[in-house]
Amino acid sequence: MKGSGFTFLGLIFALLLSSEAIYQTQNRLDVYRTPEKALEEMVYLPDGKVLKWASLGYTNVLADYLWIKSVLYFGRHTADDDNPFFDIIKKKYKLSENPTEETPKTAPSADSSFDLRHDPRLHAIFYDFRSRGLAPFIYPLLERVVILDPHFVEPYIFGGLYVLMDTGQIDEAFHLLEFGYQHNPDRWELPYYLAFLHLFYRGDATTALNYLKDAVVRPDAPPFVQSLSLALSRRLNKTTVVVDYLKGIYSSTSDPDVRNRILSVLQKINADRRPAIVAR
Amino acid sequence: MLELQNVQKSYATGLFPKKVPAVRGLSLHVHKGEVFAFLGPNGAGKTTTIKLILNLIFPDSGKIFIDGLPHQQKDARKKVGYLPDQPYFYDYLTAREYLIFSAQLYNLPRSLYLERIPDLLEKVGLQGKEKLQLRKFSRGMLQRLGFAQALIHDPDLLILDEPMGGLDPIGRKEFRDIILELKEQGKTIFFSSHILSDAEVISDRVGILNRGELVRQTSLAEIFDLEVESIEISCRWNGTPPPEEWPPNCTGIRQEQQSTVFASDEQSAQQAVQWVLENKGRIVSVTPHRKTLEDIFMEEMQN
Amino acid sequence: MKPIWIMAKNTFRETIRDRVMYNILFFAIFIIGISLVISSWSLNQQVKLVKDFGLAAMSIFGLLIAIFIGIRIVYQDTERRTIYMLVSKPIGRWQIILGKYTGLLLTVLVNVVVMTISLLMVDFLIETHIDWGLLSAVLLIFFEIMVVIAWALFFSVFTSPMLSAILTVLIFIIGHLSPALKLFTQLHPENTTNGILLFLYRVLPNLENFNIKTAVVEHLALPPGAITNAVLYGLAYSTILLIFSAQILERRNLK
Repeated sequence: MKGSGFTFLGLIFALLLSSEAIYQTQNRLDVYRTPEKALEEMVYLPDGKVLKWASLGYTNVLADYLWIKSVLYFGRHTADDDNPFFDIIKKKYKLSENPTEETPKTAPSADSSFDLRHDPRLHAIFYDFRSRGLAPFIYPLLERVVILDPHFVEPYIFGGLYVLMDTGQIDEAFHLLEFGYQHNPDRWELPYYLAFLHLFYRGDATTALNYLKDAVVRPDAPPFVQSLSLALSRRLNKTTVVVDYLKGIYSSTSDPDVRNRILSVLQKINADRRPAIVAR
Repeated sequence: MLELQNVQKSYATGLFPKKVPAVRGLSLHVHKGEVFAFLGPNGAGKTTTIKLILNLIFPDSGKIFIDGLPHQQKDARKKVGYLPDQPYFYDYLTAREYLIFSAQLYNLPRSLYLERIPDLLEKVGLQGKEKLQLRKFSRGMLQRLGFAQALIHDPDLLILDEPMGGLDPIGRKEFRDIILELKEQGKTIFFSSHILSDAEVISDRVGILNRGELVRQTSLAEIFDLEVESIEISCRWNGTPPPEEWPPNCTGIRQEQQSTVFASDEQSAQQAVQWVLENKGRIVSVTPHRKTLEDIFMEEMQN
Repeated sequence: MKPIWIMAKNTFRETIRDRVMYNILFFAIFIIGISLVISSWSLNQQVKLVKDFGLAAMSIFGLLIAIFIGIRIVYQDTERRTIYMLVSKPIGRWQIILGKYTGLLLTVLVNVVVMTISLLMVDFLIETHIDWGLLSAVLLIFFEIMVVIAWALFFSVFTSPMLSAILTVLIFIIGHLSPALKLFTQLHPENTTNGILLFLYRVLPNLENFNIKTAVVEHLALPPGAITNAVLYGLAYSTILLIFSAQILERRNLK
């Protein structure tokens, strides 16, 4: 009886000792696991094409996994008051107290009559690249996501708009959206956002309008696309383009309200223009 | 009932496959209604022979017939009940399910096998275990179930590979009894064993296999008729001391009150008995020692 | 026909009670459920994620179950020699193969149905309606498993259980990489070994034929005949493997 009592105590003692050891050693290890470490950059990921084959048919889940990783990565690396890592980011990247406010450096606008980039009301929203340089891996990540799953639309919008607004990586945003545009001929979002980017970040209304025309005829395009394209077209001086564009919309829509509006705009144009146009 | 004609089987083994004969020119004949014991040391080819009979492996040459039918035919297999060496079954089936499965493979009508199964289980000593999953069966229990599935379709020929393996003495006796009972029903039984004592008790004929060759085939009656090795005479002396010399052709063990005399043949035995009586001794027993199966077996092994 | 059915019933009975299979199954359902949590980090992509995860889990676990129970049956037959009991009865060896295959398929079917139900339930929770299109992806997942089991059975008639398992996993991997063979020949038409590569492409299973998960989840149009042809491909391919397996078993000296 006494023997088994000793054994029992011995076992309890061993258990307690081990638990304490686990606790202590974990603490010691955790000292080195600073929040800085948590921000450690993405280590090497293989190329999208390699990943595609390596996923053995499970491309979707891998894309989803990388998508979640992208979202989390971006969340950690943006200069945002909400971000618990903000102080560390500030220190790490030596952010000034005043966030940058500069216009995006791109080629001069093809048509400066409505280059929106100099509109001061829009600066705070679209050109305030507070997180410039803070999330260098976001576009490589997103690129891999869309290579794995080209029809996954959210990453294009995320990278093409939200990330761009924070980090100012215009070329990468264009690249991403163009990839999506090529692979998704039945999605209105891609040309819509491309139009947006051309208009706001390259000051190129003509290209923007072309993309908008494209977006309008795609399935499930919402009405505001049409209204945006209309609004834009009104600022163009190139009437023939407008007339063609309107005719295109007219033939592709069965909405009587839109048709009436188009008719009324056409009539207005007629009133200012030579009859030659009307005859067409 | 079972006939093998000049069956040959070799295996190719080793890195540079070299043909090793497992069974050489084996011919034997088992008559209907007899119990045939197929004996031999480990590696002699007993299991190989049985596998050949059951079409588990294919002979290089030679023919095998079961009740006159070529052994590969399904009709031939219908007549055979087989109990392999160290039987295993599917872990998660119950005893009852396994027996039903076997019965269905033999195409037995449902009412028939449902009736038979409880009796069979009782016969092999597994009553009450029908709902138990086979993974919970001990080695001995598996052996018993193996016997049951061999009997489920009431076959005319039973082929049992080491049937007593894994059984305790009670189990062995039970199996022996079952075999004898089957024999009385007119079944033919062919079994292999290396437990000679079992073979002695139940078989009619014996075949000894050594290194793939059938070196001896005899009936037990023949064995017992021949070759009395010695006759042991046990006697007691009443008061008078035992005589100094043994009778001619005899040796013995001498003790105070009793002696044991070994006479080499019947005639010397007669003389020995008289010698005891003449010396005022009393005969306690006279026991002929014949060659046992074991003796014969060992003889063949040494050849 | 009847012995095949008897064999199938018993294989089913034996495999459906396998403890490890249940562990794998519960784990699969757990993963399907857990996707509800994980997907909440995905910026409104919950529906897509839940479906992607669910289908992938079904595919992977379905295969795991298939390989696992298939190999266990093989193990019992070869190492424990339960096959002696079968072959010595009046049943043809080819009937044994077909019966085993059918039994295994039935067990996998039950597992797939259970997983499908949990997937649809989770889908309903997220979307408040059920996307029945998921069923076509499930159907092809089942046929993919069918082909893989046929391979496992094929290997089992002439190699050990361990080797069968390894080779089956290899076949799975190769099966998903096989389109690369064809692609290579199309990109490099001048290559001299193209004949061999194309031959390999035809002989090895193209498991990507059964992969319509992307299209189903993102509601894309499938090319015409995608499902029908995949089903027929699966049936034809399995048939060939079964024929080979049966032939090999017929000729084999059982150890």
